[in-house]
Amino acid sequence: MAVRTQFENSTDIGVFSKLTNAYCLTALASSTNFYSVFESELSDVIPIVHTTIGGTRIVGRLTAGNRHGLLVPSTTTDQELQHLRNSLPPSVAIQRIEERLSALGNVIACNDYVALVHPDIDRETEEIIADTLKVEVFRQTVASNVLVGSYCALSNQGGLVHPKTSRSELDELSSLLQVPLVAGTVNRGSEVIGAGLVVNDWCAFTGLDTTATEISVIEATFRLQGQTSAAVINEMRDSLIDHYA
Amino acid sequence: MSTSTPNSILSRGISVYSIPQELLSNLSVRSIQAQPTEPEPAISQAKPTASTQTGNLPGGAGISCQTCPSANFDTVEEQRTHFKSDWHRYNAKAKLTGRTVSAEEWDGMVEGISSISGSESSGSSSSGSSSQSKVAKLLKRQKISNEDGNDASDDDEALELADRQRRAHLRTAVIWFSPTTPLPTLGIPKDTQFGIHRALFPPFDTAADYLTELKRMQLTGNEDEDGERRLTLLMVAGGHFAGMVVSIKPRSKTEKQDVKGAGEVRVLKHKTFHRYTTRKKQGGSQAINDNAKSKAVSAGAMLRRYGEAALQEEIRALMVDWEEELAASERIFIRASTHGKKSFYGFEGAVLQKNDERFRTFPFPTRRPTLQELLRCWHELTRIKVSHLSEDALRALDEEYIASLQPKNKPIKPVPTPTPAPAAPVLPKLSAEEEAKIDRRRRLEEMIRKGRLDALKPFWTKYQAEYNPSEILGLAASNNQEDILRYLLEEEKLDPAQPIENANNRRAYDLSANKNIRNVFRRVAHNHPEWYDWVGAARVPSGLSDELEAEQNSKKSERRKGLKEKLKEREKQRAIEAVQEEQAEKQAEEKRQAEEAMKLAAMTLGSGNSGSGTGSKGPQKLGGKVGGEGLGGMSQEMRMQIERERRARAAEARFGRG
Repeated sequence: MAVRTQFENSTDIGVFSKLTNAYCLTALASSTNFYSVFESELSDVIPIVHTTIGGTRIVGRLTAGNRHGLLVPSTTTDQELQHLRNSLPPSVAIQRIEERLSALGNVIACNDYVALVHPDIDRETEEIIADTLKVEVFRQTVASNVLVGSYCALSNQGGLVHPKTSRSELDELSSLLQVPLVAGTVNRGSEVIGAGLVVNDWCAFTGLDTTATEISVIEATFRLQGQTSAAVINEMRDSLIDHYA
Repeated sequence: MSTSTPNSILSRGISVYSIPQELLSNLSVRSIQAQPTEPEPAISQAKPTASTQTGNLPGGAGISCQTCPSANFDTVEEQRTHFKSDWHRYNAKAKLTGRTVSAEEWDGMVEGISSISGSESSGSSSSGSSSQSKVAKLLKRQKISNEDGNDASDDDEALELADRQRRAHLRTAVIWFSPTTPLPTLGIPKDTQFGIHRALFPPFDTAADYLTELKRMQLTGNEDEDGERRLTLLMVAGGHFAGMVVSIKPRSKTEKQDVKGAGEVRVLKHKTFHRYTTRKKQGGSQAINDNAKSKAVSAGAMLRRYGEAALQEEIRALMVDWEEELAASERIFIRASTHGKKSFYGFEGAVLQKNDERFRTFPFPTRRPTLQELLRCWHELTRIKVSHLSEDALRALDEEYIASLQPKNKPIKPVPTPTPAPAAPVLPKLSAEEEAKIDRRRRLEEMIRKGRLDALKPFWTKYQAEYNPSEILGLAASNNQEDILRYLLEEEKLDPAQPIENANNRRAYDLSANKNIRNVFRRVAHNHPEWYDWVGAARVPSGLSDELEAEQNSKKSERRKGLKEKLKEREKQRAIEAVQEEQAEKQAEEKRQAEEAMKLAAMTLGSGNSGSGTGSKGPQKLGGKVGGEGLGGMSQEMRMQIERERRARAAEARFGRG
């Protein structure tokens, strides 16, 4: 199910958290409200780790990961790395990456099987991604944006991409990813999907501004309520079309 | 077109534009230049899916790629493979600047660069890592060519680049044709070759294109049509300008000729200018000198500056004047420096555009721009060169040519400029796998050199089978990478006892950059003495335990301390000695003074006076001093004289008292 939350009055929760099937990272905040929302949903299932990356709170934009591994940028300090190693399950490989494009969350979008990456990413990084996250790596753009991580959210069930992604590009991406994709928005029309939404195979967190329609699209896309993604077209058609008209 | 008399055809120059039909139909392009085109079909085979059908409906018709133009696939697997291909990777990046290339163009570009990587398999998904560098290279190249062209549009630049690379197949200045059979009617013996300047042709891929183009280029005999065809030759250098527009159709006997010595050439327009622009004795144009140094203010400099501007103005005005003729020209030959080219294009109201496809440079050295020189160039360009070489001689020449090419290729490699890559077939072809291996090797070396342990670890676990472990150890040791060396020795357990083949069979230890590296070996040798024969085979003299190291360190510090003390002591000693010496000197001085005093006393005593104290003391002392120092520099006689005088004075004094 999809839960609305905010981080210190910011609805861009994807900036401050990272959610995968094996763990969740949240930024250190002045209160534990943000953390508590994650905790209430996930506490019994996967570890939730409070951390900073390179001393900053934008953990979601700086890291990339899935259930096999976690990639952190070169700015990560040794203490942070050690903290992550101690907190995450041993099955998760943690790798620090020397990469010019250091906001790994913005340049890498991945689920447990496939990763889309920025076309300019280093070749060595590409190999490390493939090895650490155990994914097939494709250099792609989403709706002519190179920051694939910012403009899409992926899980093993489905994916939400930039609203201006064309039909043909959607087909192409979904045949790459082998999951159904839907073009949509979060946070009342924000196209920066990655910043407004974190999702794994069974739950999603979105910014507090996300509308009910957006929530229902998200839930259908990522199959969070047991529906198929066809629901987006069949059951929600009326509300969506009405909305667009 | 005289065909009847034997040998007459070769004895007179044949024009490129009027080759006898009988000869033309029997010509073929010589083989060495035709060779490079052979791999072409093989490449296009490698990409059948991409080039065959050009689907108009990318979304609906089938599985396609949005980035790469006209790429369609039958199966999803094919599509996914395509997404990992170089072509797609290149386009994924090129798309951002709006310059994607089709499969054919891509093949052309890869051909151009293949001398660097040595592979023609652009579609193979297995060579991911090596191909990546190829993509990077191409993109870099693209970027450079983009920076060059300021006013030209991106598309034109890309096209031009592709063209240049295509031209690299056939890169000699002259294209050689040979008749398939001897033609006795024209007086052409068996071993005859005909050469035509490549510059007269458009840039072509295949040898056959040249032949068809040559046939197309011939004059038809239709008066109006032929009369319209023309060529322009322009030269500007050293303040001289010469330009002419020539009709390809030769002058008929009845037509008036206003250019002296032009003969059959039908010169439509011609013009020469001269201005004083070149710095005498020093050479170079004034503008270049002004840009290089500060602006010269001499009268000569002013004149030259004015001359340059005036020349440019005149040429530009002439170009506008000749607009019609230039527009009708098939080729425009230009000889000009980069600066000089500004006279022809790149200004407001220019008739010619920079990226005009008709532009050619003279493919041979030219002299000072004069009308006569233009005529010479015209003949050189449009007359067919004839040579008579036997098959064997030709083959020898071909081999020589290929041999001369190879060494030249190598220095070109690191240069990222968009020069057309040299002919591909002369290089040994590497398979995609080998190429990938070489690329990986290079990356590994870089990782070791830069000490990137994080990157090395996964790389090594993946590819370690490919490398000679001792060599890699040696690399780490010689590059002073302690961490990497320790990792390789302790965790990967590489054997340092193996000799390194390309380092004179030395061991990794022998290649150590400094003591710290040697200590890494010795420490590992101490910690795991059972792994290898450290002392014998690996040539590590002894293990280095922590205690031993600590002991060594303490010893060293002790020795250093001892040394310091010794130094201090020595200094002290020296100080004492100095004091003593000083004292001794003082004493010696005192002694000497005492002696002198004694002498003087003796002298005064010797003169008979006994202890007359006070009155005589002053002069005595003075005299003593004079005697001691003042007399030193004088001659014997002078000294005697002074002595005598002194005595006399003393005597006088005595008499006075007495």
